[in-house]
Amino acid sequence: MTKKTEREKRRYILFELQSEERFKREEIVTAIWNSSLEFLGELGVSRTSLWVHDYEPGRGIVSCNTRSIDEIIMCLSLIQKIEGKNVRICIKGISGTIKGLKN
Amino acid sequence: MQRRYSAIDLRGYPSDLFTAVCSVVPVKEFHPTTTLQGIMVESIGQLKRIPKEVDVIFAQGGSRERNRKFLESGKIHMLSQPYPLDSVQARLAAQHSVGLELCFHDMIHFSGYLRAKVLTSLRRTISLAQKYHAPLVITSGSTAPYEVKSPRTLVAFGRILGLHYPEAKAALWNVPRAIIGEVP
Repeated sequence: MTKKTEREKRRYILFELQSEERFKREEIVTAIWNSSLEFLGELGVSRTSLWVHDYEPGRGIVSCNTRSIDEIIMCLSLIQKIEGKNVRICIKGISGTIKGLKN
Repeated sequence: MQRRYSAIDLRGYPSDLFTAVCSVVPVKEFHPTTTLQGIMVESIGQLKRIPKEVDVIFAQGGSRERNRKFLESGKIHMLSQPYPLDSVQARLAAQHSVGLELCFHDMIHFSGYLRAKVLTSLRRTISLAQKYHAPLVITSGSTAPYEVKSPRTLVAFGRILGLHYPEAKAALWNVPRAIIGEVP
């Protein structure tokens, strides 16, 4: 039986960044990608469909495919420092839509 | 919004994210308190003078001989850093209901080659524990507020090591609860 669609399902992960410093969006995106590349490698990251969506100071949203949620949560949790400053990333929720995260 | 996980962190920093958190200290620094407290035993000799007020007794693993002596003693609740684990040790852990600790802090502490080696050792520990039905416990190993990890993160840690969701969740709730008894 053929699949109805080849479009992959995505999950949106809302995270909260706890730190005394404020960071720009570019710094957060670089830190997430560096952590993912270090932990999963280039081939591993290519399989996750990782994308950083919104980032407003203190919280942000990343998305990935449904198979890679745990890998991406691990990559986010392994971020300890950004620009030499201590940070803590806490996962606040996972949803199939961005709207679902904001409610 | 976030699905709450009932979880017990058997070695971590006190946090609202967990139902109960056990803070683990070396034997010499132990002082009885009302909170959940454990001690880290680093040699077989220390097992002879364990205070009665201790809730959880951890043993620091390291080598095969050392792990085996701890497991045969029957006096410990948890074996920390149990690698290198072999089938004999896994069977002993199952017989004496000694929990094998999978600590998230090991992942943060190491990077690159060493992290890869730790991951390999943890996977081996899990496969042996599953074969011999030895209890597995996931802990955060945090010692500061910045190191505290949410239960969902620890479940993800179990998942990437090869556990199924129910097993990962059991390693955070059912198994620790069986070790400490009633949650205070």
